[in-house]
This record gives sequence, C-alpha cells and structure tokens, in this order.
Amino acid sequence: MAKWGMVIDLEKCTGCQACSTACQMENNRLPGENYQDVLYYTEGKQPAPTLSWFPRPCMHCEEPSCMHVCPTKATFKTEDGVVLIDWNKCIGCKFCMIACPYGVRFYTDEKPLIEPNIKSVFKGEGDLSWNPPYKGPQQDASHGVGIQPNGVVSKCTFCYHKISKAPKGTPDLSNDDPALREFVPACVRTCAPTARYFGDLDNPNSKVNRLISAKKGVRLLDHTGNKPQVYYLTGGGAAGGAIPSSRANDKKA
Amino acid sequence: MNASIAPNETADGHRPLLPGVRVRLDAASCLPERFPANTCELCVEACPLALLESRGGAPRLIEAATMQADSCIGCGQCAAVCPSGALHVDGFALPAELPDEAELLVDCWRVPAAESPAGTLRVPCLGGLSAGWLLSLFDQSGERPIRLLERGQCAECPAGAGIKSLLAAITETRMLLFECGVDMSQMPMLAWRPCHTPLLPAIPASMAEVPLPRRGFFRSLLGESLKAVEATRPAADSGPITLRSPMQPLQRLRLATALTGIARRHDRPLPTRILPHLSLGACDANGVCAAVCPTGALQKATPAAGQAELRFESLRCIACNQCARVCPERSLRLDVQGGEAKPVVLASWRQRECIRCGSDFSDPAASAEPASAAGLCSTCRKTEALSRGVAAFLRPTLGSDVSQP
Repeated sequence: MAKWGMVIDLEKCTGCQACSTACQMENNRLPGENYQDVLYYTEGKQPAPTLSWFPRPCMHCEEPSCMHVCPTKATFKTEDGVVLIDWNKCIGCKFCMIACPYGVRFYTDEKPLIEPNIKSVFKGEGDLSWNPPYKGPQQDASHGVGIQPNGVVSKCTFCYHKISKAPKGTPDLSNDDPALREFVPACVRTCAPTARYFGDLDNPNSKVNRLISAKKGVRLLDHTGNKPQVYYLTGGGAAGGAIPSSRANDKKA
Repeated sequence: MNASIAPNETADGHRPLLPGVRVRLDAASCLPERFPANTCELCVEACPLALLESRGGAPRLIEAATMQADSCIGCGQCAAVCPSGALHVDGFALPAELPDEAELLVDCWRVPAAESPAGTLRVPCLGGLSAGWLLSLFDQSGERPIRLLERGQCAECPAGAGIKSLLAAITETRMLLFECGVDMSQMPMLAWRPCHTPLLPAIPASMAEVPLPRRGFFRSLLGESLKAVEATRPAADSGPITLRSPMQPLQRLRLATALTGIARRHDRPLPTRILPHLSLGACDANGVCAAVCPTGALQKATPAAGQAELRFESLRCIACNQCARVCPERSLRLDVQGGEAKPVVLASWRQRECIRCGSDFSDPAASAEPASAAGLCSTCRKTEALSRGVAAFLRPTLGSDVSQP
C-alpha cells in the first residue's frame, strides 16, 4: 500500500499562494478557511529584515496526535497514509485542534470570517454548511471530502477524492505524466514554480523519496514525535536533517 | 433543559436489534457507540441468557448458529440497567390511568391473568424494573405502597437472574425514598405470593396475547397501535446516526422528575445520591468537555455578549465520565453523588475576538486585559510559534528574532 507524502521545496516556493487558492476552489472553502495556507514571517532586524514564508498543509502525520485524542474516533488514518475525518462521526469537540501541533484544522461554525456571511447567502441543503455556486462532484462525508456539514472539524485531505483514484502502485503523482494529472492534489497541480512534489514515501524509487534523501528533506516540529509525511527542502540551510538521522550526522561532519 | 418534560415511555428512534426481537436500540444514545473508548457493558452483563455482546460499540445479539430471533425472551433486564436509555423493551409503560387499589400490585406476564388480583399492574418481568420505574409509579400513584409479587418460581425461569437486579432496584428506591422522608411502610417491597398454578411457558410476546380481565382490552388496543406505528417506521439502517445533537436521557429524566416531585411533597431537598458532582481545576476554556457531553448536562453558555460560562446541570447528567476523560488539562473530576439540584456555573470566561483571524475564543482569564500572546486565539498562537520555530530551524544563522507582519 502506498504511503502518500508531499515534498515542498522552499527554495522554489515564491509564496504566490496559488496553492491556497486552488485548495479553496477544489474543496469549496471560503477565504481564511482553506485547508492550506502560506505563513509569512520576517527574519532579522531593521534595517535589513527579510520576509520569509512557507506553505503549511496538513502534515498527515504517521503518528497523528489529532487521531489519538479523538473521543469518537472520527479522525482516522487510511491504509495509504492519509489522515481523514469521518464527518458522520465528528461531534465538533475540537480536541483535535488543541492536539494538532501545526494548527491545520478548522472549525468554521462559530463566526463568519468575512462579512457578509457568504454561507448564509448560499444556504446549504440539509446538514451541509453551504451550497457554493461552483462545486465539484465529490461529496464523501465519511472521508471528510466535499462540502462540510455544520458543526464538524475539517482539514486537508491531500485531495483524497483525487489521489484515491490513482492507479495502484504509482510512485509519483505529478503533472509530468498527462495520464496522472487528474489524480494530482490541487495544490501540487497548480504550483507554478513546481515547488511541490507528491508521491509514495514507501516506494524507494519515487521522486519524493529521492528528493528527500538527495536534498536532505526536513520535517517540521519533529520533536513532537508526530512524524509528518510532508517534507521541506531547505537548500541545506536546516539545522538538522530529519531522516535518516545518520545523514544529519554526515552533514555536521 | 427542563427535567420535568420526561415522558412516560418514548421509544422514537429505537430499532429492533434484529427483526422480531423485542429489545430495541437507539444507537445514537448508546455510550460505547458514541465514544469507542467507553467500556459500558451493563446490558451485556445484565442479560440473563448472555445473548448480548458489545465488541466496542452498541450491543448486538450474539450470532450463534443456534441463535434465533426468539431466543431473546424480552425480560427487559438490559433496558433496566442502561444508563442512557439506549435500550428499550415494550411492555413496561405505565398505564395512563392507574388502578384505584390502596396497594399497587405488580405481577409478571408469565403468571396466568386469572391468578393476578384485580387491578394488578403487569409487566413482562419484574427483573426489568428499574429504580426510575418504581419511583415514577410511586410518584404518579400519589405515593401508594407498591407490592412486587414474588411468585416463588423465579428460580426456574430463564430470566430468573433478574431477581437480583430487582432487589438492587428496590434497595436503591427505598434509600432514595428514605432520604425524601417517606415512611417505611409506604415503600415498595417484595410480597411473597406463591403461585400454585403452572406459569405460561414463556413471557408472551405482547400484552395482546395475555388475556386480561379488566383493562387488558384497552391495553391490547394500545399494543396494536404501537405495532402499527412500528410498521411505518423506517428500516434500521436508514442512514448514519447523528451524534452531534445531544440525546435525551429519558430514564434519567424520569427518575429525576419523580424524585423531585416526591421530595417536594415531603419538603426535603433532592437526595444527593442521584446528583453527580463535577469539580473543575485549572481550565483552559477549550470547551471540549461541553462538546462531548452526550446529554447536554455540561454546556458552554453565553449569558451575555462577550461572556461565556461552563454550566453543569446535574439532573441531566448520567455520570458517564466522558467530560473528565477528554479534558485536555485533566482538570475535571466527576463524583457520582454529592452534587446540587440546580444548574451550577463551573467557570466564567471572557469571549474575545482574535486580533489576527477574527474568530471568537474564550479567554480563561476573566480579567479585562488579554491573557497571553496579545489576544490571539489558540490556533493563531500555534501558528505564530510555528513560524518562530521554523525560522530558527530553517535559517539558524539569522538568529531567532522573528515577528509576524
């Protein structure tokens, strides 16, 4: 079984936020609640501060702390390594949001982030939170895909409605292969500087694996033990490589 | 949220465990079904025939090759012990009009109707009676003494193990009534009335099959109408169950209502035996406890704009301990008794608007000054910490002086 993972090359990333927008369109999210965003921060002091950024999707951890705390076991990890929420089971208690070290889960029911409240303009049918004028055909509440119902937590699914349809045994999902394009997650598909790669971390020949080893990919907040499946390539500037640890030692030597 | 709305017996949403089985289940009310880590197996333990298993979810009938739908005898002992009212067995409804006798007699369906004295209340099995049922009858009958007829044949009955749970229910009832100041002679008790005619071979499937001298005719009409309602009910698996809305702990509300009435009549406070007590330590105002509470006993309320409070209503609490189990700070402690009858405010919080994302969040510090991190919600605080950490992590040479634009 595949273990899907993502590699984000921070040297290539231009911070254009096309990924956030694509995510918003693909998953019917409103601004401010798209499943992934780009965080900006400044480094250094005046007179020469620099603006830096990095994209932050759900890390789809190997040991997801959000999953372990869920009182209804609504959050689960699929066989192909994706962390999903079963909206039929979620009761919106937000324990997962407290447990997630990356802050990539959303509970949007309390207050609209933009006025006027778009969701009240396009009212959803039944339990659904809204009825956007443009929406994809996918709607799978048991995998947390599509328009979310009211009162649940939502998060990045790695575009599960796309990647789950990819042919079995595919090492990489990328735009390079026209036959696979429709299975590529929206953020990866849209990334203009091709800073994102998506593939099978269990396959030693996949491009993501080769990039992680060749460019010393790192994982964020590795000390939490969550073991993210999203790796960042930093151009060698990182304090320590993530895995395998021997490589990190090589670098110090 | 009024404890006095307890209907006598409502079974909407309850579906038979198997077609033809008398035990009906409302999966949305079953605690292990809601919370997979919950290990409540009271019904499994209560079944005298050991027909139930739970496997970390709602109870189901054991699928043995010899198992037939009619193996379940409908004694109602599983439903009597269910803390959340998820199980239901027909035949235990109190009649709208109680007999006029000075003493209320309760008898078993297996006893031939002719053997029951006139005006006897008949239920499928005395083992299926709970303290709530007894108190409800005591309350509705104007506190007449209740005599549960012991026919001396329970030992031979397959449901005979229920005599133990009946004794427990009677003891519990008597202790509660004692605390309410009820005279001992008025309290429910077992009455030894051996039955010398042979009993019916099994508990009849419904009251309609029990020939009754008096109100039986009307009862059977009621049974027929229930069956008609049953037939129009959607099939058992009509879509996923909804866990987001709180359930109505009907058994609990029934007991609370009856006991409130009795206590008021005797001018006593409600016995603290039935009132769970919740205490709160250091709190981070996340409100997870209130969100998981299956009955809505623990609620996050907004009494006024800019304020929030954690409110606990002991009368609705079924002491499932789920709130204490999920508290991220491990600050809640539930004691099964010793609480207060009135809703208690456990904590008051100030509602703030996050200065970054604009969402509302509860600030555990009730003071006017923002508690920490300059008025950021917990998610935005996390985001900021992540940015700082990443800067130090990815570009260690630049130092750690990072600020958000």
